This record gives sequence, structure tokens and C-alpha cells, in this order.
Amino acid sequence: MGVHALIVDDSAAMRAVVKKVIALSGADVSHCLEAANGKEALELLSKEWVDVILTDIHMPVMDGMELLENLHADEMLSRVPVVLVTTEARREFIDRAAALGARAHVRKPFQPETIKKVLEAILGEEFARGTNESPEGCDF
Amino acid sequence: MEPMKALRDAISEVLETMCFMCPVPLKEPPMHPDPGEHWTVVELGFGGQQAGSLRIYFPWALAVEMANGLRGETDLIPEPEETQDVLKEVTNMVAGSLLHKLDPEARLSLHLPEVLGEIQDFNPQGALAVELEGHILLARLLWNQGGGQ
Repeated sequence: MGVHALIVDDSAAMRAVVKKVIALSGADVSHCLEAANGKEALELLSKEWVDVILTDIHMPVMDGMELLENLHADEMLSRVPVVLVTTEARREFIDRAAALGARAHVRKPFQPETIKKVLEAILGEEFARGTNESPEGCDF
Repeated sequence: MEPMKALRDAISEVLETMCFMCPVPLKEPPMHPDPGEHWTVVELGFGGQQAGSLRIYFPWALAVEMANGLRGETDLIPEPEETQDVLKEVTNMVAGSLLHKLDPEARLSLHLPEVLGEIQDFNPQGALAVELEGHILLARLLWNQGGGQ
């Protein structure tokens, strides 16, 4: 299947890693979008729909929390599942992100399997070939 | 957890998981790091109840291998900006993993990583040293006054 994912991270290398991990799951990533911060992400989302957003929190220009607030405030965009992929582990941030609709938190560094299982759990059978158990390293 | 052990474990966790490299800890840093080596220094500050910074000294040749390892490439020569991007992300992940070990209740906040520049000569005393692919990587944990452990 093709995954229309939006990967938001100020590190181009990390965006490439996440994209590669999705590709290694067997998904077609040719429709994956990339943004270097929340502002770029919102600009892309004003033009294209995505199935899932994977975002870092600490980014210049607009961070992941502000991106989440913008998504939460938009009736349509609030329906897009969001996965945090970040070094941030403070409970207040993770709880606030969950309240704003984030569906999972993957802490960097991560095992490729963790991202795969989170996407299986969120995107369902079309993506999954395995189980939907809560993966190790995922806090929600 | 003792800070230097936490730092050693954090470096191992990140490099093994993300770059597919196995660092070997050294008891002491070398008295005189290879004078022919160019080092890129990346720093990341953290704040909260205790404030300080993590500074990692990457030999450039190792940095290039690390960039290829993280990106899953082989035998490519990344652009210097791409390599610096990887070094910042590696430092970010090491700092995140380190604070997770030192502060399991997660009260400390991370700042954005910053490349301080390149150096050719410095005093490595007090730094944590690990051997990696024939190079020495050094890391220093600096606590602001009154915030040490």
C-alpha cells in the first residue's frame, strides 16, 4: 500500500531515516511529504491530505507543540493522526500532546520496528501485516 | 545513575540503534588526541532544576561514517551540511537518552543542538572517551555553577 505520511523534523537525515523505516515496512513511500518545521507542515497540509503525521517536537520556526495546537484547532486537520517522534520525554509535554490529539509517542533513538508497529496500530489492516499490540518504546 | 555511566550508556544506545556502530569505552581519554584529526564540536544545552550542556567532539572522518550509517548509505561522501545535520541529531538523541537516564521523571528540558565549529587541538582531560571504527569520540558533560552532580 502507499502511505501518505507527512514527516516533520528539522533534521533532513532524521526525515530520511523515518521514511526509510516506513519503506522497510513494505509500504510505498513515493507520496510521503517532508517538512522542516511546523510552519512548513501547515503550508503542505493546506494543499494536500495525508494519512498520518510523524513529527518532532523541538524545531525552529514552529515547534511540534504549536503544530499540534494548529491541527487541533482545525476541524478537518484534527482528524489526521499524529505520532510524536522526539527526544522530548517530559510528562507535561507528552500529556499535553495527547490532549491535543497525538496518538502515539516514539522516543528517539528508536528501533525501526517501533515505528512500524505504531503505524500498523494507527493505519489498521491496510498497513499491518502483523499484530496491533502496543510496541515497546511507545508511551501511549 | 552516575552521570558518566549514563553518558556512556546513552552514546552506546544511540550509535548502536541509529548508526549501527558499536563504541568501545576507554578508561581514560588519550593525553594528546591525534593532531592530524579535525574535530567538529556540537553542543546542546539543557535546563530545569539542573542546567548544563553536553558537548561532543566528533573526528570528521568518523562523522562522515556516522552520517552514512544513520542514513543507511555506504561509500557515499555526504555534503558537509548533511554531516553536520547528522552530528546535531546524534547529539540531540544522546542528550535525550542521557537526561532520560539521569532524570527519569523528565523535568529537564533540552535546547536545540548547535555546531560550535572545528578545532584541531584541545585538552581532553575529564572527557568521556570511546573508540569507534578506529577513531576516538569524546564527550563532556558540563554543569552550570550550582547545578553539578
